[in-house]
Amino acid sequence: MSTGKLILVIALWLLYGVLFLRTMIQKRGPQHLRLLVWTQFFLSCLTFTFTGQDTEIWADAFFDYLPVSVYVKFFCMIQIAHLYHGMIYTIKPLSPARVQGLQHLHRAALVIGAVSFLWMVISGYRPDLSFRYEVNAARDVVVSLYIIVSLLPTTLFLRQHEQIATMRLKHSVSILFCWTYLLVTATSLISLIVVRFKLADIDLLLPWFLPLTYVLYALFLIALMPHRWIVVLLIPGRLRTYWRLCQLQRAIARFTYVQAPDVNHPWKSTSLFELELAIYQVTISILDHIPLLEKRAEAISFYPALAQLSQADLTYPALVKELVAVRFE
Amino acid sequence: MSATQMPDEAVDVKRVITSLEYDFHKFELTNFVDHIARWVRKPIELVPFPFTAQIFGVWVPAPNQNYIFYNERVPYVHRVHIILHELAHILLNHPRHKLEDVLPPELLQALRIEETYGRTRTAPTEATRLDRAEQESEEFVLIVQRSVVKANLLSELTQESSSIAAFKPVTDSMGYNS
Repeated sequence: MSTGKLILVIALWLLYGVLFLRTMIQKRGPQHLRLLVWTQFFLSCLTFTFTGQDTEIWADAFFDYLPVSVYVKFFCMIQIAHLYHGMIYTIKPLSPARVQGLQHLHRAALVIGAVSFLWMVISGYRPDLSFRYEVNAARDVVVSLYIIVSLLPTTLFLRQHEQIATMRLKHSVSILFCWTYLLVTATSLISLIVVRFKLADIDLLLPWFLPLTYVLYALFLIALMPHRWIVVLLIPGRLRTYWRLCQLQRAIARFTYVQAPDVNHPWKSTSLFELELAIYQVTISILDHIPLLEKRAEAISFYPALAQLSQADLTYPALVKELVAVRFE
Repeated sequence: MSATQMPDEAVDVKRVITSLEYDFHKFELTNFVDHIARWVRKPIELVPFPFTAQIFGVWVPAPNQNYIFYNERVPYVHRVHIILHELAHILLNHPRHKLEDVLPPELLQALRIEETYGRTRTAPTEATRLDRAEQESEEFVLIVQRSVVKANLLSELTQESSSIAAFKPVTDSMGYNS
């Protein structure tokens, strides 16, 4: 294992360890769920530890070149997909046939994996290097089936219904993760075909394929971050909202001849709190001024849309979103 | 009730809010209204009313009760702002003016309000921009909202992990809100 990879692995285990301890100390969520969730995170850590051909060879050498690493990753990743599916499939209920289908798939994958590994242990058989591509492809196909049947539809549903901005961002990251994983599966299958039929030198393809795996780990890591660590990612979007509302406010002031109230512009501060407050102030100012546009012929192009919003029974986030979408140019 | 005059000295709105000793982490509109009512020792009743788009809210102080009429057609966030604005008039004891044709006589009769003095919050004009009582009320709302946004934002970003009840135990277990 290279020094860089070793540092990364240690950092990852430390980070997960600290976050796990914090969650345990703070006793967030039901205990059985806490253990279930963190089992998945630590399985992902284990998977990352054994990622990379060099690492596999280095680790397998401790077991007389029995392909332990590919099997560890095989079991860990299928188990992560299965456990996560088990936690979320009831939120957007899947058909019983699909749930049963995934259960059969899970059992079959574990049994085939365990039997083949035991057979190698007992018989002393050591497969050639192409074997890892077969195991990885099988693993990725199983995980992809979980993604297509359960994880992706449920995450899309959660993304659609989530009100908390940071959580919505995480769902977006999870969706990206799912799509990236499907791409990784495609690269696993291509690698298997290339190796099995000796179509090209696989070492030439790997530099193109491996970065995708690291993108996957990065996305997984982002999904793990506590909300307040990723809040900063929301600032550009909220600044755009604020800027757009200010433009609308100015357009209204142009026609009503009433000066808009002073707002503490948030770019004087780096705080998201100031930004949210400024968005709120501008929104109220717009709502206050809309009735003044009624008799202004110049505002006829956008007054009806605004008048409708000023009398609509909308939640605050929905109202802001609609105001941002009003065309007034 | 009759028309009153604005005192010469400006009010330190921030100090008035601090003196309320209200915990904004537990802010909820009716709870805040009750708090102010206890503070001014007079019940406050919130009355939804189908005003025209130009009128947002009206404060009418009756002998034994304060009435806040608010435009029931406006979005919730605007409604809260309007009510807070009228609460500020009550709390800061702002001068009342005679209200003409703002509320129907039969409603006033039903509420046993003989003479209607109070304040109206309408779509802004240059006159309202220069009215100190209106400015103080807006300042009050801004300070209250600043406290509420601060408390809510923290709650939204660091305490609540998901708005989906079925998914929240999962995200809580992940430590997203820690």
